[in-house]
Formats: sequence, C-alpha cells, structure tokens
Amino acid sequence: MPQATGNPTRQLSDGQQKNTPHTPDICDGLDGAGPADDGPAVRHPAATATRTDTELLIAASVLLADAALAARQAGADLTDALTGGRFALQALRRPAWALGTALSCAHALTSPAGLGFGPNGGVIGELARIAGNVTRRRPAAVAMAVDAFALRIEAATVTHPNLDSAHARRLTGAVVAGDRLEAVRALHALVERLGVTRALTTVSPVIMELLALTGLLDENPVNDGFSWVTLAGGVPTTDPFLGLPSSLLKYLNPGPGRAERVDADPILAKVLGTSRNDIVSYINDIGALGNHGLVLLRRIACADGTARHVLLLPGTSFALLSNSTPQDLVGAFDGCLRTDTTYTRAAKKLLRRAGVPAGSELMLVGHSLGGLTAMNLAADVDVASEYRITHVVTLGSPIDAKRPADHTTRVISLVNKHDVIPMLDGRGPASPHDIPAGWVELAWLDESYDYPLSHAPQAYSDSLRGELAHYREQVNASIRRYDGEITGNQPYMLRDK
Amino acid sequence: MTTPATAWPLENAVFSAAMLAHRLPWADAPARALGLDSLTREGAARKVLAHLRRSRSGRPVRLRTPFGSFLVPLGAADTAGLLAGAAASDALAAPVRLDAAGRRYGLYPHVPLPPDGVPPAAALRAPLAEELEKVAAARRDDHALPWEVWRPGLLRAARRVVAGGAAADDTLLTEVLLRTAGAAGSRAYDGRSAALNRRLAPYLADPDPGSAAAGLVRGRAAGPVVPAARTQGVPPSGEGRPEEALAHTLAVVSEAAVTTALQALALAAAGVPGAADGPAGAVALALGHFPPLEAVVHPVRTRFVWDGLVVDEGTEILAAPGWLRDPADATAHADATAHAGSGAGPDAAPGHGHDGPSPLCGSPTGCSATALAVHVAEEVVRFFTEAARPALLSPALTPDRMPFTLAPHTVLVALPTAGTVPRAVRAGTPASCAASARAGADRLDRHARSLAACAAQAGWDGEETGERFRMRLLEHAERCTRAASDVRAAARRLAD
Repeated sequence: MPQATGNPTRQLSDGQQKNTPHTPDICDGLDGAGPADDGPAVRHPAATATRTDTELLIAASVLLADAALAARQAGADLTDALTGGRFALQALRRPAWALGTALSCAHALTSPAGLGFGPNGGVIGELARIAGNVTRRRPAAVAMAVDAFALRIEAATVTHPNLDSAHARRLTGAVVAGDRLEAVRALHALVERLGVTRALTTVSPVIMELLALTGLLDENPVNDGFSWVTLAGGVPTTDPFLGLPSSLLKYLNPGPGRAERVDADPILAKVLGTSRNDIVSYINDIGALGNHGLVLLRRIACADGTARHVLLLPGTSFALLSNSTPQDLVGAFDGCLRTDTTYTRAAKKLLRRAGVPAGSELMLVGHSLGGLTAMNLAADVDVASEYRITHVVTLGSPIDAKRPADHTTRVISLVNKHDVIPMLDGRGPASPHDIPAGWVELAWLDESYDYPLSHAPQAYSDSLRGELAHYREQVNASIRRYDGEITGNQPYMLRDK
Repeated sequence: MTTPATAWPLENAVFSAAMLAHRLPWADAPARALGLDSLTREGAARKVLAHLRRSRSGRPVRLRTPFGSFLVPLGAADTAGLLAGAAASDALAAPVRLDAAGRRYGLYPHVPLPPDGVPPAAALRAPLAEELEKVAAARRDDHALPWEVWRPGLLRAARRVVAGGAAADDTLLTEVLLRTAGAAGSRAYDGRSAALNRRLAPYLADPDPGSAAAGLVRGRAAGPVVPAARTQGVPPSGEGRPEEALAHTLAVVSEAAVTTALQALALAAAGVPGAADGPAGAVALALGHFPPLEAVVHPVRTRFVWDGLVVDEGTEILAAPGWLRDPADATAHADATAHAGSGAGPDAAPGHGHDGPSPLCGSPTGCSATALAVHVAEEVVRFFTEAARPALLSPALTPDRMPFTLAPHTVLVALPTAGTVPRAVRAGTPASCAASARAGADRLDRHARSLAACAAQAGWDGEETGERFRMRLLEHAERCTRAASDVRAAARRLAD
C-alpha cells in the first residue's frame, strides 16, 4: 500500500505544501557566532530536546560539510599567498621576512593536527594537491567531508532500513573507509544475495554519497571536483570516476534534432480518446506513447476561452546506449547534466513546426528523461520567452538542480522514493539541500520496490489512483486552468538528426 | 559645400592596426609592461584621433579601416552637431555599437520617455535602497562585493526601479532584453522584440506606483511623445509603444546601475579628483572616462548637409566619445568633468543633458531615460559611500594615470559598513592574502565551536554509532581550532 513519506509536510510561503526530507533549522542562535552568512550555527541543546536522531545526523553532516569547505578555502588562501607573484616580489626585497612567512604558511598547510596536507588552488597548489592525493596524504578537509558523507549515509539508513542490512552495511562501511577492494567484494556479495535490481534499489538512496566518497578517497586527483560539488549541494559537472567534464557529452549527443508528424496507432488512439486534464490521464498517455521517440502535443480550448497547449514527453529507452531518437541513455545523461540537448532541440522544432502561437500558454509534462527535458525547455530563455510555460510537471525525474528561466513557472515534481532515478540529481533522502520555495514536490513510498518497476509510469499512475488520490487532486487543482475541450492530439516522432 | 577630408594612408593604417591588435591577445603586452601608453592598442587609436584633430582643424575626417569606412567627428561639439543635423534630416538608420576590435553589436532602439515619465527621485529612493540592502548583505568577509554578486543584484534593482516590485524577480526579463538588443538589426529582432513586449505588458497594465512604468503610463496619458523615428531614424513601425519605451529605459538604467555605478565607486575609492567629492561627480567622471557606449556607428541612409559638409548616403558616422579623449589631457578632462558633475548641478554631467548623444544610449540627440539612469547610478554610489569610504582592491588605479578602459568585471571594491574601516589593500598582495587568511581562521574557529556544540547535544549517546560520530565531531572541532591557530599565525606573518 503506498504511503506518503514520513517526512514532515512543510507549509510554503504561497500556501502550498510539499513533502521533503526535513532540513533541520540549525542556523539559529550560535554561541558567539557572527552574522548568519559568516558561518554555521547550532541550536542550543535546550532547544533541541525533541530532535530525532536523523535530524541530528543531518545537522552534523551540514556542519561538517561547511567546516570541510572552510578548511579547503583556508588552504587555498594560504597557497595563493605563498605562490602569488607579489609574494615573490616582496621576497626579493625582504628575504628574511619571506623565509619566515613561507615557513609559517608551510607549517599551517602541512600540520597533521591542523589542515593536514592542505595546499590547493592555482597551478602550484593543484600540483601539490595532486602529489598529496597520489601519496595518500589526506587533508583535514577531506577527513571532514568523508565524515559528512558518512553521517548522511547513516541518516538515510534510519529512513531506509534496507541500508541497515549486514550486506549493505559492509558495502557502505568499505566505501567510507576507502577500502575499494572490500567495497567491490561487498557489492558483489550484495548483488549475489539480492540480485542486480534490488541491490541497485537498496543503495540508490545513498548512491551520490557513495560515488562522492569513491571520488574523494581514490588516487585519481582529477575526479575530486565531483565530490566537493556534491558536498556543497551543487550540480556536478564532471563524472565521478574519471573526472571528465560533462561538456564532452555534447559530442556524444550531437544531433540537431528533428520532429516528424505521425499518426497515432490504434492503441495510442484509444488511450488518447479517453484523455482529459488529469495527472493520472497524462501519465497514462505518456505510458501509451512509449519510449521510442514519440511525444504528444495537445491543443485545448480551455473553459476560459483561451487556447492552451500541453506537451507530453516520455522518458528513456534503455534498450541501447544510443539510438536514432533523443530518448536514449546518452540523451539521459546529457539531459541530466546540460540543458541544450538533442531532445530539447527536437522539441523546439516540434513547437515551431506545429505553429504553437508565440505567447501562448504551455504546460510540459514529462517522465524521467522527459521531465528533465521539460525542465531544460523551461530553462531555455528562447523557449520561455517565446511561449509562456505555466507548468512543468515531472514524474520520477532528477530535476532538483535545474531552474526554469521564468520565475512564474510552477514546478510540480512527483517522486516515488523507491525510484532510483530522481535521486541522481544529488538530493537524496538525507541531503540537507532543499528545493526552491514555490516548487511542489510530492513524494511517497509505494509497493513497487524494485527498479525499474518503481520508475515505470504505471507505478506512478497506480499510486495516484489509489491511496494517494489526495496528491492527484492537489496536482489537478494546480493545473485546472487547462480544463476544457481537447481540440488536437498530435503525436510527433522526434529524431536525433 | 565640401566633402569630408580623408585621412592619409598611414593614419588609416595605424588606426586599423590598433583595432586589429585588439583581436590578438597580449599584442601590446610589452608596451603595457613598460608603461608606454601611446603604443598600447587603446593609446595608439586615441593618438591617431588626437593627431587628426590637430592636423585637420577639428573637422570630421573619413577613416578607412578593415571594419568599415567611417566619418569621424573629432570633438564632442562636432559629434553632437553632426548627429543632430542628421537626425533633423531624418537621415540616420538604426545605430550599432562598435567595440575596440571593430566588432558590431546591436543596440536596443532608443524610444523616448514622455516628458514627465521619469519618476520623482523620492519615489525611487526607498525601493532602490531596499534592493541595495540585499546586495550589501552579500558582502564577503573583507566587505568586497564580487562581480558575481554585484551584477545580478544591481540588475534586480534596475528592474525594481523601472518595471516595479513585481519585476524584481523576473530575471527572464533582463535576459530577453539583452538578447533583443543583441538581435537589433537582424531578422531575429522582431520575434525577440515581440517576446520582450509580452514580458513587459503586465508591468504596464498594473504599474507599481513608484516605478518608471507608472510614470510612463501617466506620461502617455498626458500626451503624445516625440515619435522615436524623428530622433533616431528607425523605421516608424515601432514608434510609440509603451513597452518599447519601458524596455529602452530598463536597458539604459541596467547599464548605468551595473557598470557605471561600479566604475564610479572604483574612482571614488581610488581618490580620483572629483570622484571623491560626491556621487554626482563620481558618476559623471565614470561616464566621461568610461562611457558604456564608447563608440557607436550611425549609418546614413539619405544624403544631408551639415555646416557646409556634405554627407552622402551609405556613409557611417562613428561617434566615439570614449576614443576622443586624448591620453595627454586625461587628468585635466577628469577635473573638468568632475567639476561639471559636482559643481554645476546634475544636468551638467555627461548623460544628464538631453541635447547631446548619451553615453548610455545610441540616440543621436539625447535621451531622457539617461537622466533617470544617471540618477539611479548616483543613488547607488551614495548608498555605498555614505557610511564609509570604499576601498579599491583591484585593479590598480591611480588618479594621475587613469586607464583607457575599466572593465566592470575586473573591479573589486570593498564597501565597508558604518563604523568599520577596512584596510585599503590591493587584491593579490600579501596584505590582502593576510586579510583572507584571518577571515578563514575566524571561520574555522566558528566551525570548531559549532561542531563542539553539536557534539554536546543529547541524542548521540543512544548507541555505539552515535557515540562514534560524537567523537569524530569532537576530533574535527579540535582540528579546526588547531588549523585556525596555524592559519592565524601565518596571516600575522603575511601582514608584517
């Protein structure tokens, strides 16, 4: 039986509600701390008598993450001071001062009880950092970051009991300890015991933390950026293993995009014949469209006399890494990390080809990669200025790091918490980072535990039709302006080229 | 009647070489390193123009370059007169901005505000101050406001002042405006302009009382404005739309708030004569020295005569106030501009006048929105200087040797709060590194206290895992304290 998550429902400023992992309010009243922007703060013990362990773990992870970033910055500042050209000029004039200062900076940068081995930033600093990484000299910042991730994993374990099993504990413990051989063995044991899909589902709540820890503790100094960005709550722009920049993906997904008008097959036509302005109906339509390149543009003569449009965007086909449509695995990675993708280019051509009038109101509904593409279209200044994108509704999409260009666009994200895919934006169940105020995120745990079943549109549809009917009503109330008579249901086939 | 004189081949060659050199990175690095201003790219171009001014009695001269053949008026008065004559004859097509490397960029068309469309200063002050408070709150530990904070904050303030409070969050409006301006003169312009008009329409339909939008609505209700085509030479199809007037005002105010105000703060912080006297002087000096539109090309579409000089169809008039400043008299010009700005009232400052070309807008005959923009820039400077004098961290700027250009993204100014007096240390020096290190040490100390306080909370002692994490927190707190002590000691050494 599906159930809304146990996280507290937060009242937003605009009166909406969302269910998200609660971020503890840790920045109130620090003993002697300065302004809020200057550093972290902790609520006094007396004020936290009712705080649960999960909240405490997340609060501690936030503090440690901030401390790690501060230690790293302090190392970068001292490195910059020591390697800057003006220091060298001063050294020529005042060699004694320069020697003393260099020794003092070097001591601060290499003290095992302080910053550890902390040089970073700039050419010389990065070379020193790489040398330290290769020789496994761990800076204080890395030690703090590792413990911050460990706290997040522990917090996730409280809400995801499967992570507390012996096999999962063995895996997470090995990754936190930086023992890769043991981690591989533990992963193998986990897969042997649970199978690939359930093992993936088991570790999915902490997958970003595990990847970040791997990047931080291996000997590859180039992939550390992924870990630091994940720690700071940003969107990684490199891969976690080799540290390759995401911009390389554009060379793997280079198509200009093309949209062809096609006729609906009988099964699709039958489903579309019963469509209406209802989130469950939209999900069923997306399911009927499949994952082979079809999308749907719907014209609606709305009850208020306005003509509006809805674009339905299905997700990824997992059959091949790359196929002739934008709905492939390469497109999924591209859509996750960038905004200008083959899918968005093809969708823009669709809107132009279909003659959607400039300035008309448009709602984008997408599943998985389709939701990512919906957000990417909403983030595109040209699209957002040409049309008025009123709503973006996503199902099982990792969109939390993306932002629409138009601040009035309403974003509604539906998340099955057993689904691995929505976690790929780095905001897992124990992440302290929240989505913007004004977004509506509706999350739940349903019976479809294993991936990919938990990610299927049908799983979302079933949940919203059953116990979570109140979520369905909430979404339908938000999109009510699209109520009216459907005057056109036109499928289009999107191609890479 | 005469035709314009043509520059000699050598003069054309030197001017062209100076423009071409802008496309070659580090081309003039040796000259810069040796302090030979006349041999830098900017210095050479200005020297050619100064030479032409002396040798041709100041009359406009035709310069031939690989980037076009330009008719160049060689003084401010000639520039204003020539452009006014062309505008009176309705002889000008839409202008474009020319950068020092000869690249052309579209300009958002000038559409005048109604005579009483500019909102009163008192109405702007409160909303502007509210936005500036938010920008000020994002200062770094050393009180500096980096470009990444300054630009979005001031763009937001400009939207608030021009389009109203509802537009403050509308970052898309600014993006569309910039893209529309960039598309000026191309086929994409009409589509982008329509999108911009759609974006602005709600702010005009329900204008914020204190905004320029409200003034525009009020002014248009009072009477018709001068058609845009009469003053600028654009086709009459686009004239008179309130959205276009508002967009133009937003473009001009955004530029002044983001670029000119920051340059003015830098000049005031550097103690340049006149700039330190007050906001009006600083803004006037910034506009005089670093006009955002340092060169504008006005294509001539019909033949006209000005002051006995025949200007044929197809000619391109290069109005380049930023390039006409002779390096030799830069300081004198600074003094004169500053006195005009601070002593003769706001209308005497560049941009305040409604007759000459505006340094913020491509209009050949003045721009009423520029007055509003200058006022906003002055308010920004006043806000950040009334508590304490700012300190320039970068770039190096000395009053007796002003640079030819001052890119706003390179400016880093410390803007102290009342009662604090930051040390004026240049970025990159050991002293500034010491300040950063001290701030870092303070941060580490605060983190140490926070971690210790977190470890002291109830809730960790329920199980072994909790106790293990508590010990890790305490270890990290201790390490932060040690690291802060080490970093502070290094900072003391650096500051010695």
